[in-house]
Amino acid sequence: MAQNILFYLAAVMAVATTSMVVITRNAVYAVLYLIMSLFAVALVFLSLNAPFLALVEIIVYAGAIMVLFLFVVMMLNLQGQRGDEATKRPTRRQMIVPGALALLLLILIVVSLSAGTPAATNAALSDPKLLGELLFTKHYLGVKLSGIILLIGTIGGLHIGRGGSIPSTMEKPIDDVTH
Amino acid sequence: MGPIGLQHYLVLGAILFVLGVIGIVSRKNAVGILISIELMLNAANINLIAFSRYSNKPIFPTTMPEAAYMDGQVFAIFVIILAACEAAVALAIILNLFNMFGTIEVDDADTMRG
Amino acid sequence: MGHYQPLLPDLILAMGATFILLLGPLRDSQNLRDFLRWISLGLVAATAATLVWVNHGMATPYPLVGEGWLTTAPLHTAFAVVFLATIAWTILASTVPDEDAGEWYSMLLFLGTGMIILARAANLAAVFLGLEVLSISLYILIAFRYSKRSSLRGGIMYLLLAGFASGFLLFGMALIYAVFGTLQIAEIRTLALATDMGPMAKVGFGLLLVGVGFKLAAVPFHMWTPEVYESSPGTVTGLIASSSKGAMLAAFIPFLFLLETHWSIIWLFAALSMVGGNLLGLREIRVKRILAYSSIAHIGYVLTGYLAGDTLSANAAFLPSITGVNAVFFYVVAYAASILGAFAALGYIQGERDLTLRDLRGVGRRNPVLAFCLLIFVWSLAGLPPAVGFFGKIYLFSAAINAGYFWLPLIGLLGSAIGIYYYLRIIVHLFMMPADASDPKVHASTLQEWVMLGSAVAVIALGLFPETIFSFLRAF
Repeated sequence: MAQNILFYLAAVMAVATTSMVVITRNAVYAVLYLIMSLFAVALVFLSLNAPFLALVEIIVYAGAIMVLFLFVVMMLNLQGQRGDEATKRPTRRQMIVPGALALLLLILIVVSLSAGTPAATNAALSDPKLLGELLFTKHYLGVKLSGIILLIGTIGGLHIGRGGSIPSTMEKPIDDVTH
Repeated sequence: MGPIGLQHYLVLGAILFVLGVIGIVSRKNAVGILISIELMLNAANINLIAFSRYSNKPIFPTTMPEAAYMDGQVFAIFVIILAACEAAVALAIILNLFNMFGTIEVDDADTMRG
Repeated sequence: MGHYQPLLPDLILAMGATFILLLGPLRDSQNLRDFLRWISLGLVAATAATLVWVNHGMATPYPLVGEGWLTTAPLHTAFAVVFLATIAWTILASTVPDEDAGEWYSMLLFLGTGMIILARAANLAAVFLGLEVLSISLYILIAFRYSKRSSLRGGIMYLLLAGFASGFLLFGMALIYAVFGTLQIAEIRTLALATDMGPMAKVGFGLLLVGVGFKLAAVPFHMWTPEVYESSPGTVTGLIASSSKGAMLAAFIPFLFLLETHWSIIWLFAALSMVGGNLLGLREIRVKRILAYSSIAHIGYVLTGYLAGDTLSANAAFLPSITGVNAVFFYVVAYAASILGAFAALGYIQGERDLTLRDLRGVGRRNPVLAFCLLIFVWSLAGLPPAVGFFGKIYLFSAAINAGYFWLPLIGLLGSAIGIYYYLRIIVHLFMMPADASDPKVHASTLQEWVMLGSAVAVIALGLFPETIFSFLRAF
């Protein structure tokens, strides 16, 4: 029963925060709501008996990717907003929805962690060790391809990002790259 | 509230997916669209992982060994890696575009609509 | 070693790409750039050779390697070799500043890795990851000129659209996985054929089709094409139009059983693309966009052949020995040979901003070799004999007629007839219009002119001996 409640609460959380991501026009808020949504989805993963994936979701997705987003959004000052409008202290009324959602999220995390892992339909499958073995035996080609993807992403980010750090007037024209 | 089954997770995944699609169609700036793409990938991840748990009741009975059902979780890890990479390249382009030209609006927003 | 031997081609290409990347920053000299170009070419050749080598001695019809991730089936290997050839062509035909040579060539090799993985994928995860290796390299190649606004915009636009498409593709895959409980394409195929698919599987395959439709730029998912094609470097545009779509087509050949449930959607894609692409091209005056619209129409022709499936029908009337899939293979080769050259040639001609028909005037006098090559490529794209494009269309349409489709080839013929107008317009502007006050600027090195000439000769030669492509396919 506790299992059911955990799922329903996490699902409602996920839908609510994701809706806020779509509704809100402020990019900083959108990213923050997305982080909450990712936490809620991580709880859903936990209710699915996939603790490793839940942690990866929080550490990699919410922790690394979303922080990257947040940096960029704050550097951009989107949609012609003044920088201070996006970052100024919100009023009490604006705090209600995110505050309530955050509180719910906190309660959920505490409850789900204290409830222990749910009874598994097939218990062995929650074992991160098994996941790791599978990753490096049956799916080793996938690991290799992921490595290639990460390498390409790094090269691309470095190459294209290079232009941004130099004022465009000082930039050496490279117009003769394959027109 | 009956017992939670595979269907519940599939419905949740579908809702998040549709929200992502709405987000993409309703936005014009590149970061907003990118965020919505992340929502779509995330929704797919829920489905992939849901199946790892409900593997003993597949809609079609198969003769696979038990561990084969963890394929969904492995796939989900790959999806997260991909999301990281795509975000890195996209944000590099967006940042560059903004620094040099001061805008990240995708001008012909109509071309982005399916 | 024996266990990993079938993966040797992919390893050579990926590790070679990393190696080139490391050599890149050594010096900013032209010598180094030329050196890197030849090394990359050698790597591609070595990869193709190993692909052919490891493929031999596979007896089963759908052999799996890499723990079921890849297949070494002959058709898929042949596709992979063709895609490597397009990469090799691009390495020769593209120009790049000395200081960026390392990144450029290594990215092309990574693109090739993605293509050969995608073309031989035997597993949904392999389809997805191969596609992403391909896509991410393409984003970077499109946005490579990072100080140009149009190039950055093209890059981000393609990225967002491809991301959107991957979302659909992935969600469809997840549903399919949930229904069938396996990621292996062959197993999914067996299960789907053995039982009646439920609604969820149909939705899953439908979403998969939407994702594929976006990537192939079939109408109604074509809107991104003109903008992205316009803003990419010419040689890269050729790759987006030819082999990146071809790899997608190759990957989905095992899914042709879908025709039974989803054929009407594919039929609609094909018909709309053939009509829409050609009509949209009529009023356009920017040359790259004309070819972009024409590429939409060409996807329609290819889908016509795809609909004919991979089996020979008993009551075939025309050219009964050619299945739909073989016709698709022929067409991918023919189209790649023509479109790569066409876009590269347009890349060498410099316009004021976007290259318009007006900018083509006088090119025939200024650089007759290049203009003549462009003429042949456009001729082949229009599907006029004796160029290879003509036979491509004949095979596709006859395969469709053999499979019992009547309207689709008819629509295709009408579409091609409309298309001839804008192709001829390009030719007229090249040769028959007087140049404006200033001479057109054309930058092509001697090597590039030779490469263009070589592929123009190939387009004609393959048109004269179309059987060569089928014997190449049979050699695997």
